Amino acid sequence: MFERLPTPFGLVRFGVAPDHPEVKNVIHDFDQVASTEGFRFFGNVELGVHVSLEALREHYDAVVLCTGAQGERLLNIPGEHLQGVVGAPHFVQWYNGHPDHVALRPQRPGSAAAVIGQGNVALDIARILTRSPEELHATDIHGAALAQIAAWQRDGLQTVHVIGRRGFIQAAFTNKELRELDTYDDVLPIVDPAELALSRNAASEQELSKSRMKKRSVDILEKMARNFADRGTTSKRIVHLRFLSSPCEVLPSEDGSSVGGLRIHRNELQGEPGQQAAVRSSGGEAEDIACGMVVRSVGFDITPMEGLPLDGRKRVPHKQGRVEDAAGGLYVAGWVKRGPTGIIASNIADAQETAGRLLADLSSRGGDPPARAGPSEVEAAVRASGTRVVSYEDWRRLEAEERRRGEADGKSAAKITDVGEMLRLL
Amino acid sequence: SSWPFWPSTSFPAARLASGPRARPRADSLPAAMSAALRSASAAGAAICRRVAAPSLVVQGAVARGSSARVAGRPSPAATWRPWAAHHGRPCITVTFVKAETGGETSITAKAGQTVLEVAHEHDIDIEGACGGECACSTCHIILEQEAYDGMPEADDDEADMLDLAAGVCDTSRLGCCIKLQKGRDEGLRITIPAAATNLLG
Repeated sequence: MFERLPTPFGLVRFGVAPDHPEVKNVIHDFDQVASTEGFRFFGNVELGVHVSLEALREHYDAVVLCTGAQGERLLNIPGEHLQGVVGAPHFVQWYNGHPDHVALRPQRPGSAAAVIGQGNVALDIARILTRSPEELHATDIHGAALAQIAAWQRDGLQTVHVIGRRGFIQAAFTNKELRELDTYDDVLPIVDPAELALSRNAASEQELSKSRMKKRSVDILEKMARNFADRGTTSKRIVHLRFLSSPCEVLPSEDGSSVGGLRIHRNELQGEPGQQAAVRSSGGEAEDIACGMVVRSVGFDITPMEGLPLDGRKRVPHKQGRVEDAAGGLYVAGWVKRGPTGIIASNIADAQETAGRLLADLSSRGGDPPARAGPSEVEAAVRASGTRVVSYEDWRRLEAEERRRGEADGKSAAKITDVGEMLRLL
Repeated sequence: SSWPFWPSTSFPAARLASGPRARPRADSLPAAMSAALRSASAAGAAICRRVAAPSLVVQGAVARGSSARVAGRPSPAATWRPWAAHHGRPCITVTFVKAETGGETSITAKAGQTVLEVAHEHDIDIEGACGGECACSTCHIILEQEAYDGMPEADDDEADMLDLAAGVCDTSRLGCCIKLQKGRDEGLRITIPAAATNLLG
């Protein structure tokens, strides 16, 4: 396994919200895989820098790319370039202590922030911005980021708007994340009852009738609709879930240098059940929301990589994970294969498919495999590239150090956020 | 090693649930204990007499689903219930059915174990990505209608996760959420749908 960072696990380490530690228990399974004979971890080795895909394909019988979707989709609206607009991947990786993003200095939101998107990532961000910092301190959230969020709250951050273009029946968030918003003493989740009603057009009702998950979401959202009446008097921080609304422009602050607000317009749903599109309503007025921060959470995106074929839809052409490529021996798994959707369970099934395909291909190859110099050549080349290769045992030592530092501070772990520091510790 | 895929025996940073959803973590066993279990599961017939997995009760850690939720606070030393508390627990015969192949495995479980714990203890092929803490959907199992009706309903936490399980149906449950009971669960048939198999096992 070749990994760019010294630390393994990808989104399990940097994407899962810090207050959802049980989701990260899958790491125990990863530790087991890592302890099997024949598994080797090469951390701090970057594909395209310290080793080439070409060299890997030459020296291994099969290469599986699990590089994920590192980019993000944009809104493509005026004002998106303003200081204060930030992408969810960067924002999440900032508070999760990713070495590439710890230095993010987000603009202060003022009294309100707007998160564009309706998935669990959007809810995670809203929750991290509004929960009690004292409670979050005990997690492995990056300390400096939490201190910054606490300062924003002291400065008056009271509302986080979570704005989605479709109705609640089409929204991608799931019930666990929705339900938990109403379990914190500091947070009041609210929904405008009118938007709940608007969400239930005829086609959406049909979609609702077929979805056990969406049926169970109705009670949760109706409770939030009852909370709506308290929004003017509550002392809690508010998470305002807004539906059938699209951002049309990011508005500048008075001095023009950063975000001052967000202009949104009303949508209506058109089309057949299961295929409804959000279309701007005619005749409706735009609404301006005052806010100092806009977080864009409308999806990750696969970034092009040398040697990885992408079709017109920016997807890798593959069959059960085997990349359609004349030379053979190249596979994909995870988000780079399916696109950036799904949960850990989806990726488990996905990985099983690719592994099954790969094993079947190897066993059906028959005859003598092409003469390959073998992995030791690659290893030698990697070490010659000058990078300090981090082994899995090295990673376990870093992990223990993070835990030790965390416990000294009342946290489950205090992540080391500088690669140089990690390497000096080894 | 004959069993390289047993979950790590290193003591995890304490993020285990206390309160109503406390479940012992199989992967918190010391190495000698898990080694004993591995050899014992092959014996089968002597299951009731062998050393049971001690329950791991951790105090002061995550409280799920409550308004005072605090994630990941490191716990004070865990309290191990001595094995004697499990010695002599009633035994129940349950049968796991693998949907993909129709293959059946009958094993003897102890009352109080969850379906997932029993499965992993006996090398039954089922995923449990979150370690049995009702935070994923990979231990999805399907019961027969009568058995399903005879059990207390899934609570919101379990139902929320079950919503996401591949192939979820009207008699689906999560294996980590069903605590086996003497009498009620004698002869229970538990179907493991194709998507839930554990390639690590």
